[in-house]
Amino acid sequence: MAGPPNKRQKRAEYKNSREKGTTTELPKKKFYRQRAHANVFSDHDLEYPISPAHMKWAPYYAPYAEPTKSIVKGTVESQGVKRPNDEGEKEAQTTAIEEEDSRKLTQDVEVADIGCGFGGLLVALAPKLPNTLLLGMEIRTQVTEYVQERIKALRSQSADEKLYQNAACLRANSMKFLPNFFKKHQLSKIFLCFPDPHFKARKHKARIVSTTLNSEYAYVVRPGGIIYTITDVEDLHLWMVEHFDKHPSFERVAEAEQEADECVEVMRTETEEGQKVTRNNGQKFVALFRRLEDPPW
Amino acid sequence: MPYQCLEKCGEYLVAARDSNIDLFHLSNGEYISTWSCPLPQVPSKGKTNGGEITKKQEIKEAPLEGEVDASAPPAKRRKVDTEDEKKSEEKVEEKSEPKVEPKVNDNGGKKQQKKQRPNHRTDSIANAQEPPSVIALAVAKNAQHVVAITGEDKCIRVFEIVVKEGNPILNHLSQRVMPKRPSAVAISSDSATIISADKFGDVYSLPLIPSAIPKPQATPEQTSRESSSLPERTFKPAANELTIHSQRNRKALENQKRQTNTAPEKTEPDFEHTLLLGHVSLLTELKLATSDGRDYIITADRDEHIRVNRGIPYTHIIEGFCFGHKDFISRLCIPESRPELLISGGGESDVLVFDWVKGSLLSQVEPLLHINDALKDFDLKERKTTVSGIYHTRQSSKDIIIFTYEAIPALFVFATSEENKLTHAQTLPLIGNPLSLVFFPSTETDTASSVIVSIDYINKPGTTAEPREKDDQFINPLQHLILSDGVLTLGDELPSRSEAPKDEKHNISKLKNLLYGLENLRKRAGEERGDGGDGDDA
Ligand SMILES: C[S@@+](CC[C@H](N)C(=O)[O-])C[C@H]1O[C@@H](n2cnc3c(N)ncnc32)[C@H](O)[C@@H]1O
Repeated sequence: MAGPPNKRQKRAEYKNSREKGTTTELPKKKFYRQRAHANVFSDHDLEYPISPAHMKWAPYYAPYAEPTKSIVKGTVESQGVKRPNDEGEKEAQTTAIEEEDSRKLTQDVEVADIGCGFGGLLVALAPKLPNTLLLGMEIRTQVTEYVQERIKALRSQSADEKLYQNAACLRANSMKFLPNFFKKHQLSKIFLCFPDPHFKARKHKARIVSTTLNSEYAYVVRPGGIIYTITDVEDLHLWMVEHFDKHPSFERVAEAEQEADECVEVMRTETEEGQKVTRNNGQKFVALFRRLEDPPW
Repeated sequence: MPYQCLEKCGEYLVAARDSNIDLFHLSNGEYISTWSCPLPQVPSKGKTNGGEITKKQEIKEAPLEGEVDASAPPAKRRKVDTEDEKKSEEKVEEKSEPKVEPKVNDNGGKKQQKKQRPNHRTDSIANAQEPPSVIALAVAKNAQHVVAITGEDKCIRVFEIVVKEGNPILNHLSQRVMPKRPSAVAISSDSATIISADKFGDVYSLPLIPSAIPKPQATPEQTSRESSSLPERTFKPAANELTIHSQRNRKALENQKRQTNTAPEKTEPDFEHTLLLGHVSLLTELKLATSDGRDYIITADRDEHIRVNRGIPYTHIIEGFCFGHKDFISRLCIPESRPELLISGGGESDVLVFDWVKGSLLSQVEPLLHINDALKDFDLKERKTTVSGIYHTRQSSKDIIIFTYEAIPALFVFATSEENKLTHAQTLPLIGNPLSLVFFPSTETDTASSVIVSIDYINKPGTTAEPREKDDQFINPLQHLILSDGVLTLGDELPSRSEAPKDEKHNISKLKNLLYGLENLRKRAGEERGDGGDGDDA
């Protein structure tokens, strides 16, 4: 959001024109780039629901929302076009939007791509898992916006087949607020693709995988669910394996089963980072972990 | 100094003021003895003033010397007779013969001379020549042990109350420097284990009494996250140019390489400690709870989370969350007689009542709506408020909850109703801001009990950094109240320091941080945006 004024202006102009024009055109990455590292410990003016029950999912997955009973249709549609001419109308309009946004979904989000970056995995998985709701979570505002535009464009491109309606992206610091979005055992899959390595030991708590954070993944993933990890940094791979292995709620998925999982190939080839690594002839380290049942007590 | 924390320990009141801990008799409020925290270790001893300081340090550090402290409350100093003082100095002479470091009590005395790696933080404190302040107290169920957290040195200190020459004193048993500054502490119901939560979001357990045999350094520590045998063990960059393919990773690696030759990264504490669980947030509160014979650890953080975790040894399992707060959480209370309830408060006006096992919100109430006439002058609409205390007691088969707020000179008294609601009973104005509070049954009857409230007698009521006028009347730092049939009234003055502590000099900003630090937890708008600048990689 900083940056030289002309750059900022160009971005604003670009985004403005996207708002107005046809959105079947995919967004251009260059208008959404952003400094690589965000501090996961700071406050960020993030928006997050007070609890999963407070989360308004309908705007993200509109076709999956239950119909509302009493929508003041006209006012909602006129939003942004016609100025409301009196307070009453304005109020009715906000209530209607509220109501529309608060509609429950007919099914819950079940797959999360944490630190989804530019969304390659998300848009590749969406058609492969057509009956599942997928959510990308990304801490960087611009990058999140890019993915949202990307999904919007893809949705309108496939208006006939109605693809990509099951994918969405929102801005979140997943390391702090995962339980605000997802109920206990809500998810069946979490993807952690090419996470930031944070080489310094002092920064290890900033890593997206740690013994203590793994408890939060275990909380939102149901028993039998899978955590997918991939990285090009061998030490980070070993770190993730060690910390999931050490965590009593997880067990490593055997290689045969891993390679038989169609998501693994997508993770290798469709993530932006994965493609970069391929271009550089780099290695990719994959590990999957199954969420075990909690012991009785 | 005002008392920032009070705890009851058997028949004693344990009261911390700055870096000292005083003991009082609960029965009559009489002062008994003081333990004073020594100055942080100065790496080079024997320099200017060093001798005296060292000696003092050792007086304070040596076991059984706690009761003769020059920094006892002024009125009590007459109790310290010169003979006693001499005696203690003699003992110091004896003690100093084998030149033992003050840390000798640590871990059965293994941390001796040579392994004295300087800690940067402690150094800077040493320069300031100020002992660290006590920021939290906990008392073991056995009513023998007291745990204190000192903030600046990140230290967990364990004391035993022993009677020495007819005088009960706090005998300092051990000090353990934690990886990060502890922010809340509890002791397991069997009085064997300390559970400590820190500013980095981690919760550790450590034996109340450190094991005598030092843990061998070479053994990889299974239980601690930091113990990973991965990058930090080798302490060389965890990747090389060939394994790095993205520009963002390459940059990170470059930074890492630049770092490598500078200060070594922190090593793990060498005493027994176990990482139990962690949040990615600053932990503010910690409670141990039981339901259906199962143990739980409840943790609260600056990001509005109240998390219900299984107890030891299953602390890696999160059972649920108590959602509903819109601002940071500062205090939790589980009424002993209503152990299914959790009352929580923080940086917002409402306090919440949960069924914590189910994670369901039962009710909420806004105590500050009950500002009475005496408090009209304090315009609470204009300022943000922070719950600084939630206290529970039971009287005549009624549960009574008292709330305090930072810099609001009043107690807000509530009763729990059948429907798990809190109903306002009374707002009692005080002559100063309340800092901490303890209940204890007074003599025979149980329809009346005593309450001791420590108040800020330095600042004007309702303020955090505005000292009272010099000629203001002396105010007892400990106020005595009577709770009778659920109604609070002012009680008899406690025996107190007769003269005003005019010799006291106060660093008002330090005092503000110590007494009113919770407000600092509030998030400020625009604080370090995550979406900083535009980068050319990603
Ligand atoms: C190296 S990129 C990988 C992007 C993508 N998964 C891929 O494979 O192409 C890591 C991403 O994680 C995001 N990230 C880091 N910490 C995060 C957090 N706590 N919550 C959400 N996203 C985070 C970063 O902003 C970055 O976009």
